[in-house]
Amino acid sequence: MGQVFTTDVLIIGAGLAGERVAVESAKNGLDVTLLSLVPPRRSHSSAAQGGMQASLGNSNKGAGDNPTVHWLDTVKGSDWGADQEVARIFADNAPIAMREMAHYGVPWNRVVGGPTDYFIKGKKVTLEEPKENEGLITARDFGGTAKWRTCYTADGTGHTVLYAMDNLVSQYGITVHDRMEAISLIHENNRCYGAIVRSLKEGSLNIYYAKSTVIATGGYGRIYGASTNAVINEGTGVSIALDTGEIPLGNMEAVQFHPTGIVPTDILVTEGCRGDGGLLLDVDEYRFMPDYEPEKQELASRDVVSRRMKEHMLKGKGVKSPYGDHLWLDLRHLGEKHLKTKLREVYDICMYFIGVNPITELVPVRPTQHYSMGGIRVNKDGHSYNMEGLFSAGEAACWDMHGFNRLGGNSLAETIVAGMVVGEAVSEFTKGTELKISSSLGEKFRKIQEDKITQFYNNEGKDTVIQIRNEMAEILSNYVGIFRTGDGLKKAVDDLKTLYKRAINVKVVTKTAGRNPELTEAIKLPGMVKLALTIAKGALDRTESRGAHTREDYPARDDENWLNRTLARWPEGADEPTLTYEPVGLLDLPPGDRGYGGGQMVKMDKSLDEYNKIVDKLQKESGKLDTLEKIGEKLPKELWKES
Amino acid sequence: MSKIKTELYPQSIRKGDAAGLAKKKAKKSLWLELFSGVTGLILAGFILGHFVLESTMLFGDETYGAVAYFMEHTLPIAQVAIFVVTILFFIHFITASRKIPGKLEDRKRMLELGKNLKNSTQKWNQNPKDYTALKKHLVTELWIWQVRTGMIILALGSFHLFLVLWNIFSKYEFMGFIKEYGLTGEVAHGRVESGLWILYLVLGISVVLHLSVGLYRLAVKWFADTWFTRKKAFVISSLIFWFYLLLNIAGVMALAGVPFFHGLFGELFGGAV
Amino acid sequence: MARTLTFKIFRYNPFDENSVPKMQEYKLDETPRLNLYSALYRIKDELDPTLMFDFVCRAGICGSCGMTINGRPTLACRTLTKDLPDVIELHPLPFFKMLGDLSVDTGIWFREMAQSVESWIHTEKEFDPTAEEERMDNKIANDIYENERCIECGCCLAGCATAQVYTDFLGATGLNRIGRFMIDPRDKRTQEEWFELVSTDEGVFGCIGMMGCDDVCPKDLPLLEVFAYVRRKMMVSLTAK
Ligand SMILES: Cc1cc2nc3c(=O)[nH]c(=O)nc-3n(C[C@H](O)[C@H](O)[C@H](O)COP(=O)(O)OP(=O)(O)OC[C@H]3O[C@@H](n4cnc5c(N)ncnc54)[C@H](O)[C@@H]3O)c2cc1C
Ligand code: HEM
Ligand code: HEM
Ligand code: SF4
Ligand code: F3S
Ligand code: FES
Repeated sequence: MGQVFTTDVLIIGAGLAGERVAVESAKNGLDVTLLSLVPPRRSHSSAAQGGMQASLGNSNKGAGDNPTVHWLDTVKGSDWGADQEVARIFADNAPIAMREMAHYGVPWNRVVGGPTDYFIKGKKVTLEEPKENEGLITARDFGGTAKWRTCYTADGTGHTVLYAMDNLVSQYGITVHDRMEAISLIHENNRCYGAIVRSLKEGSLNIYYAKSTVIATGGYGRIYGASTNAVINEGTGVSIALDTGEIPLGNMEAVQFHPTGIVPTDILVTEGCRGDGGLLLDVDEYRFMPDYEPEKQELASRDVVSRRMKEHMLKGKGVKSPYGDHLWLDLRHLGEKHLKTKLREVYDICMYFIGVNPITELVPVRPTQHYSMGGIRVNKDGHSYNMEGLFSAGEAACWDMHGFNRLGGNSLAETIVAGMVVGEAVSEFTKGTELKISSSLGEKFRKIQEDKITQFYNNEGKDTVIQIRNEMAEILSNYVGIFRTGDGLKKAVDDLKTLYKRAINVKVVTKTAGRNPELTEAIKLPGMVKLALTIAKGALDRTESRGAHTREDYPARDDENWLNRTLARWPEGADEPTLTYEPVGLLDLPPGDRGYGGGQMVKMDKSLDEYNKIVDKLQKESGKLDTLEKIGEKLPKELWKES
Repeated sequence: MSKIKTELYPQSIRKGDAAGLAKKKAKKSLWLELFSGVTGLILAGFILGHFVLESTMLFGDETYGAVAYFMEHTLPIAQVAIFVVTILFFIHFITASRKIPGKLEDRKRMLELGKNLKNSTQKWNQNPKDYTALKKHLVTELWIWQVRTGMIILALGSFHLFLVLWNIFSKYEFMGFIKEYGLTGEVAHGRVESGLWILYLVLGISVVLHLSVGLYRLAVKWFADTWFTRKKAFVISSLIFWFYLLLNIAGVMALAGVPFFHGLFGELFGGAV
Repeated sequence: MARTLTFKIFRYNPFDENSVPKMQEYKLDETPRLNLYSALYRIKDELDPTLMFDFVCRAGICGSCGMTINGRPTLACRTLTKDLPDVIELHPLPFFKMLGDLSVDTGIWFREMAQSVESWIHTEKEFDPTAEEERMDNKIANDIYENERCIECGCCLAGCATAQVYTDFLGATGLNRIGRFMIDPRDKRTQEEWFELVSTDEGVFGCIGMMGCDDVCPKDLPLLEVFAYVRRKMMVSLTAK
């Protein structure tokens, strides 16, 4: 049952990050195999509509932009949780990546010289677009940035970039196996040799041997149940790294929420709704936000609004529905004209997907999981900690340019920049290595998975997969959402631990040939609960508030004790992860105020030099592998002072 | 299954003779398409005119005869036309029918696609082509009717062409009505009256349907991105269909001597025009 | 409201020797704002865990969920039950290889299509990381995007009688892809190369003009407009030797 494949580079995940690594490796003459749960063009990258950041500075409002300004925005946005060198590599390469994608066929929107009308904060403004830049890539505005820097193609940025990337994959003749799910890595003595992969067509278990393996499986928001992520974003890729017992996951507690996902499908409606005057109402159609936030009301920052909404619902003021509690977004007073022109996308989404007409009806919304900053911890080459030959890139990785909060437009850009950078490192590594293993290793790992599957059929558990998933989602959104307290997190950790035991004991009832959807879900389930538990545990232990991780009982950002990164490992046979911490990376921009979001701070006593001196040493102790270039080579000192 | 399997794709790995072959193949396809389209278009133009002229029977035998005489004797239009039309007719038939699936099984499947398939009892095997449940789709069904009417036109049209060809170039008596060289109102009238009207009605309706759908398709296939949009093409071809359908029915009735139609306008205007 | 919906769903598992194609019935109470994405998941979670179907983005962007709904190929995630009658019949898309129930294999076909039309920019130019990007008129960029919006859902192939019969036919989505590169000034393919690629019975002259593609495309792509453009573009080669 199943086949054996051998390749130079095995890439698990064919979203933007995975495909970019694949292209880079193929350019270097390597034999590449791409795996994906779905045909690559269906990957979730295609769903990103907004755009990607790169400091090209071609538009009127982008004038004067450069990588340093972009870097500053990114580091501040991360609430200083980012690795500043990685953020630098990112900001420096982003413009090149955009231009490269233009070369490969992305129809970026371009600058049209002369006076152009924009809506800025609900007002019509006419700006003079520079004639000399006519035809260069233009940009739009996104939150948390000093300049207009987000490159876009109408409302389909992710779509067009992914399509251009997949075209390259075709051009290079890269092998693509779709409907394949990696369910285990093959590894021995801290060296990765490939993966065990289950076919989602006929259900066979296949062995893929590779000199290097790359995990680019994207986000894992679906463990929260309600998520703006695609339904395939279930985190198997990340959890198989955790399963090795060796590889740490970084900053899993850093999870971004968006206040307005619509119910029941959890599709995102833009922040612009509230920016233009939309109001939040509760079950009594009462406007509650002014009670919590008298000053900013609905327009407080993303995390604050989300937290207050959840709080209000926990008080029983949510609207009950067959899909769970929600609140209302009231756009009716904005009028038909406004909704059909300036908020047309929102209008379309409401009409198409839930059949609600926002001109006359209230829109059901609730805060919804949106992005995972955490992931497989890798060094700046994308090489994972503790596991030679395993790389990771994209949302699945904790390369760590986002720290505790990522900026809109930065993650899509990250995927292709990381793809470039990691792709190079992968090629370098692969060329200098050979595949020396006994064939029984793969068989051994396949056998483990076969046994697991048999176990699922023979289990005695009374729960169904759905039951456990629903309970997990409930625990996470109630206690590990936007609204975190010590007590709640404690309860979450305890509940998830029992849930984990139940998850491995789930019984699969239906025994059909082929992919067997029930079995497919059961296989992933324990991994999902494990991820949930690492998030909860990380959040419980981190007694401060930073970026998206906000503790009601520890409202201050604590740079003295917590300017570090959580690393979670799951030793074999354990029932919960063990946490360690490492420095975030070299500091160039000293920790300071973000300039938004408010909040208190506990200052760091150490000087930057003192902090920086031991970064490399401590990170190596945490498992960091050697990088191609020494740490700090890509971080020019104090360039930011000039801008 | 549904593997795009041709020796010519992709271009980049095409070797040796294949390149020349590809170009030849491409040229052939283009010419065939142009032939079927252009012949269809000209035939359609001819028929539209033809039906108007035939309808002069609505003004009575004399008017009809005058027109026929003009076309045969004053200027030899009819003689030229019949050659040209006959040739076009067969070119069109040959080039257009290349699109009709050769295999019976495929024809059936096309047929089913145009119809409501939900009641289909076909089994599903690994080849999903054998099973669909598509709703009736108008333009697809119309294509099937185009094929059907095409067959009818082929049969009846050839017969008709033969008849009139015979008439135009012969003095022979036919059913006892021939008095002189060529066609007259009486010949036509008499022949139709004696039973051929059924044939003409079927042929006429077929032609009208076939050509109005054909023109619609032609317009959309070549001009949909210009001001002549699909919507406009649909409206115009529908108008053509209904107008000529009625004209044709009236015309055949008049030819068949049905009292009301025969010389309908002639009587209105007082006999001859 | 509060209707009880009857779903008649096509069931067949090609990997199971004992499986026979059949229509299976499920009953579901209609809830407010229900769409087929939520409905199918409810059937799977509450009534029948063996039911197979595909959703990814559930937001009408990824093209995974094409199926025939009461005889019409379209995206399930974007279809609301309130727009449907009490009885809802679901079939997998015809044309593609069957994977189980409502799930079909679009991946292989689309990858082969991309290979055969060489769906990438053909240029001799190397990318220069230090240079400014090549300038492009914003209007052309928008025109390209208009064609690039295709989400590979396969509905156009399912709705095209020609594609059902001539499996070599590139279909509306393939022709649209060709059109997309034809108008792209970055693609340096010559008229002759285009001619050989598209002026064939697998290409644009395989299209009979059934217009089903245009009627079902959930993204409202200007498919017929693209075909007309491509057809006329081919005429240029008539005069060339
Ligand atoms: C609604 C929404 C809007 C967004 N908008 C923006 C935006 O405007 N700007 C921006 O910068 N970012 C945006 N983001 C974030 C951004 O889209 C993602 O972070 C990014 O696309 C992730 O890309 P990726 O390549 O890492 O992963 P993905 O694109 O998610 O790809 C993951 C791949 O891994 C495969 N895979 C997963 N598990 C396995 C397995 N076990 N075995 C084999 N293959 C597997 C999948 O099939 C898929 O091919 C948005 C996110 C959402 C949810
Ligand atoms: C140059 C060639 C043609 C000539 C000279 C010609 C002549 C005539 C004549 C004389 C009649 C009157 C009836 C009769 O005499 O039998 C007639 C009727 C008719 N012809 Fe033709 N014909 C030609 C081509 C065609 C073609 C190609 C078609 C369609 C395939 C066609 C379809 C009809 C029909 C349907 C009628 C019935 C009258 C009506 O509908 O108004 N003819 N034609
Ligand atoms: C007086 C006779 C006829 C007229 C006026 C006529 C007219 C037309 C026109 C205008 C078209 C559209 C062409 C296109 O879309 O490219 C067409 C298509 C077609 N015709 Fe005819 N036709 C006639 C006779 C016939 C006959 C005898 C057949 C034989 C079977 C036939 C079969 C077809 C078919 C199959 C098509 C579709 C071809 C395609 O779509 O490419 N036609 N016809
Ligand atoms: S052209 Fe339209 S129907 Fe066809 S695959 Fe693309 S989006 Fe789907
Ligand atoms: S349905 Fe098919 S025949 Fe042509 S117009 Fe569309 S591709
Ligand atoms: S699930 Fe992506 S289009 Fe329907």
